[in-house]
Amino acid sequence: LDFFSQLFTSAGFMPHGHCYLWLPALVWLHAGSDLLIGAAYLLIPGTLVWFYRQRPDVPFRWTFLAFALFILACGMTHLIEVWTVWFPSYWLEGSVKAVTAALSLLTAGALVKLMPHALSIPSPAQWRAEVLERRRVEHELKVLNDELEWRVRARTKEMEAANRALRESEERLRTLVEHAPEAIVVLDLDRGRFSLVNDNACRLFGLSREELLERGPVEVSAPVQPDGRTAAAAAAENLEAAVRGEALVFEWLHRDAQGRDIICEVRLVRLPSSGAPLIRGSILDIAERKVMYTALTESEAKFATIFHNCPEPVSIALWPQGTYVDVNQAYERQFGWTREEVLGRTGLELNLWADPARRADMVRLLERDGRVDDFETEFRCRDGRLWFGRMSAELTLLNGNECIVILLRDVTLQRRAEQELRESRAKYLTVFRTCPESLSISSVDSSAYLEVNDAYQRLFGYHRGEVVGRSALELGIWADPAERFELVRRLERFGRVNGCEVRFRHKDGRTWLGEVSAETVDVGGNRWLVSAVRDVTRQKQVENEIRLLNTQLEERVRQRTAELEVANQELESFSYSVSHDLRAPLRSIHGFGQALREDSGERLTESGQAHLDRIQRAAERMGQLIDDLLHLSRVTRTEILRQPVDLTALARGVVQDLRTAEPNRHVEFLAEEALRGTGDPRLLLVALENLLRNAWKFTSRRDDARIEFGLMPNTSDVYCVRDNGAGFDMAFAPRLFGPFQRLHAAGEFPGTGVGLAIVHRIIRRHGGRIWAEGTVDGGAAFYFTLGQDPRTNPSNQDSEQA
Amino acid sequence: MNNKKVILLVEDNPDDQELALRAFRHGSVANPVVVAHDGPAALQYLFETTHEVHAGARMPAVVLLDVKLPGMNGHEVLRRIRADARTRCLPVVMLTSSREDADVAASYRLGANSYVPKPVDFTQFVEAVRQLSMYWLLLNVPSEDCMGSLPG
Repeated sequence: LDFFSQLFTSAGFMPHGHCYLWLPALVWLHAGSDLLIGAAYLLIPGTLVWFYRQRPDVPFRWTFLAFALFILACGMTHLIEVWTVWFPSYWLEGSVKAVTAALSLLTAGALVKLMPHALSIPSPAQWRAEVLERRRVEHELKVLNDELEWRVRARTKEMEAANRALRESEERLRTLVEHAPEAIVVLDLDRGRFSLVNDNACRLFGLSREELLERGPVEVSAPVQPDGRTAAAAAAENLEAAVRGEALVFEWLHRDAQGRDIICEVRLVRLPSSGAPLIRGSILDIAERKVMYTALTESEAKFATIFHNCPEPVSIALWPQGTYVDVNQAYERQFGWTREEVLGRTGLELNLWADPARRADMVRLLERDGRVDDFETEFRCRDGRLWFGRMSAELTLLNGNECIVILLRDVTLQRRAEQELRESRAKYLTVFRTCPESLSISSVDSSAYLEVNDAYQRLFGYHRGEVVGRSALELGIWADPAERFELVRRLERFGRVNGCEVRFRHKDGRTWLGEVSAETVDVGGNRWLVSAVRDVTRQKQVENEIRLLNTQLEERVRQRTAELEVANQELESFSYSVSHDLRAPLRSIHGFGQALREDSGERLTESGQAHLDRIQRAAERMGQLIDDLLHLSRVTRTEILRQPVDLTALARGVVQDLRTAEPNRHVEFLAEEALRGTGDPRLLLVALENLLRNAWKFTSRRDDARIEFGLMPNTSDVYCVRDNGAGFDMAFAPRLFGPFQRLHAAGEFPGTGVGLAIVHRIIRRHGGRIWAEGTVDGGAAFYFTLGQDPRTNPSNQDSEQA
Repeated sequence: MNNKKVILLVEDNPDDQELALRAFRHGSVANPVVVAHDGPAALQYLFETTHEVHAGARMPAVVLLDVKLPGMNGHEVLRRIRADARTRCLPVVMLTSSREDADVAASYRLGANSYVPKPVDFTQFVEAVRQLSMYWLLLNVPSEDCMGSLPG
């Protein structure tokens, strides 16, 4: 550090300017000159370094670098000279000068050492002479060289042409051999090996070219040939023949590297050669050909079988003569002709065509199209039977002859079925069309009509064409579309609807009432609605009228009933009057008659007394008549209350009363046990009372009186009261049941003649029947039934209510 | 005679009145018989105290009531007798020509004590009247309590 601070110090020195006395001109003369020199000395080494770098080939290059350093150092001395004018760093200046001196000395020394080398460098003149000489020699050489090259090129071209020709020839041969379809080998007989093989040969035997070239014919053959000879013996024989110049073709069993036997066709020929004999073998794998041949044979057999066994008649005939070449078994069966009979003859000759004109049609079609399809016509069998056939025929070439192959199918049944279907369809269509009810078929989903019948067109006023494809809703046929939805809903639920009343609208706008029956059917995956509609407008009117009439009738019945009730009431009040007012005078007659008898009886004559008796008896009888009449009237008016009644018990009770009243009578009474009936017990008692009292009365003259109560023989509901009394004349039978009708004199048997009338009325009121049989003095029998209980017989009940 | 009980006969037909009275006599019925020609007269006899015939007389032992009367009929008379507290228990016998069930039923429903049809035969009529009187005047015991509310 001390050294460097010493080096750069200027302490104690005077700037160099002092030496110039600080005369500005002198100062700037020195300073400016030194600055310019310094600048130049800095520029020169830069240039030298640049040159050094650019010209590495220049000899003694290092001298340039040495000069550069030396001049740079000189530059530095000049620049420090400028510095010292003002700053007296003289140590530094001296140091720089010392470095410069060292560098200068080194450079100078080097220059001295370099000098002899520098002197050996030739001069430019020497260089020029040498260059001229060299150029002349070079020219001569070039001329010679060019000539030589021309000759070489010409020669090369010739050789290339020859080579190319050779190569092309070889290539052609090679291609011929290589691309031959067969395997080709050339056998060198001397060496017993192949000398040439092609790719096909390699491929055939499964060996590489090199491997194959190592082998001879026997090594690629099956040891034993199909004819039984050994491969070696057979090969030797064949080759010998080939050497003699024969061209041989034979089948040979080769064997490839994998041991597979290959049946081949081999052709041998001797090749022209100067040296050893060469045999060319051309080998063709005929396995495939053999298979194809077999296949073809089999196929032929197969088609023949198909032809003969085809279930449909097939025939082959020469075209255009029509002479049969072959027919199959089905043909024989169908037509009834045997194959032998038809071969060589034509269909026309055999009279096969029911209508020969159709054959002409078929021929025209064949000539136009070369084939016919589904040509239908009628054919005739050998026995004359006709049948419908559908024919397909095609022209084809067989063994070089143009032939026609004809396939037939018996479609008689099919046609009949079609015919029946057509007829059935027509029949149903007629039924559908002419049905008096409106019928329509529409889609359930779209409600579009598929078909409607005549009645539909009449009822709705639309033409078929106007509705088909459109929906009823669209047409406004449903007066209330909600009804259709309801109907479809019911259909979906029950599958059908019957007699559903719907209001429809005619095309002209008027609405009418229809009764719809409909059903859905599935046809071809679609759901159809088949509906029948009947116009019930008129029917409804009639029904309404009937209903109205019924109501009126009921009204009339009510009215009539009311009238009857009034009449009944009148009758009742009449009876009432009778019971009251007719009796009163009778009582007076009888009573005052009695009074007369009592008060003035002694004053009356005997006949007067008798008259009085008659008056009183008449009054009594009149009273009895009134009673009976009222009784009869009561029976008519009383309401019947039906219930089960024990008739036997009733009868016994009545007879018991009669016995009590007349204990002196001896009457035998026979009653069937437990006879039951249904009726009003009070009225039935009255009826039995009258019948039994009658019997009692009319048997009064017999000592062996007998009364029976039971069923009429062979019946279960005909009751009978029989006696052995006075009887009656059947001539008067019709009058028996009339009121006040008597068949006997009052003196003989007393009575008013009302009893049987009452019985008759009671039985009739029960819906039963009563009749009597009797002979004079031979007894009488009264038969009666009680009729049906209306409660157990609805029809009676109905009629009673009506 | 005053101690004899009265019989009230309601009968519009004069013949029947005469025959009835005759029957009473024939039947040896000594009780006085009061005859009313119609319903109102009968009711007047029973309820009006100022009635001369009534004065001093007692309530009848029995009322013989015809059904068919002019104007107010026998059933109506019976109804009014039963409706009044004084005569609620008064014995009433329907004596009538009618044998109609309806009349019989209506009579009993209204509270008649008996129903007797008048026979045409006078002998039978006398017998009926005799038995009736015997029964109602001698055998039957009326309720004094029930009758006690009579005025006077």
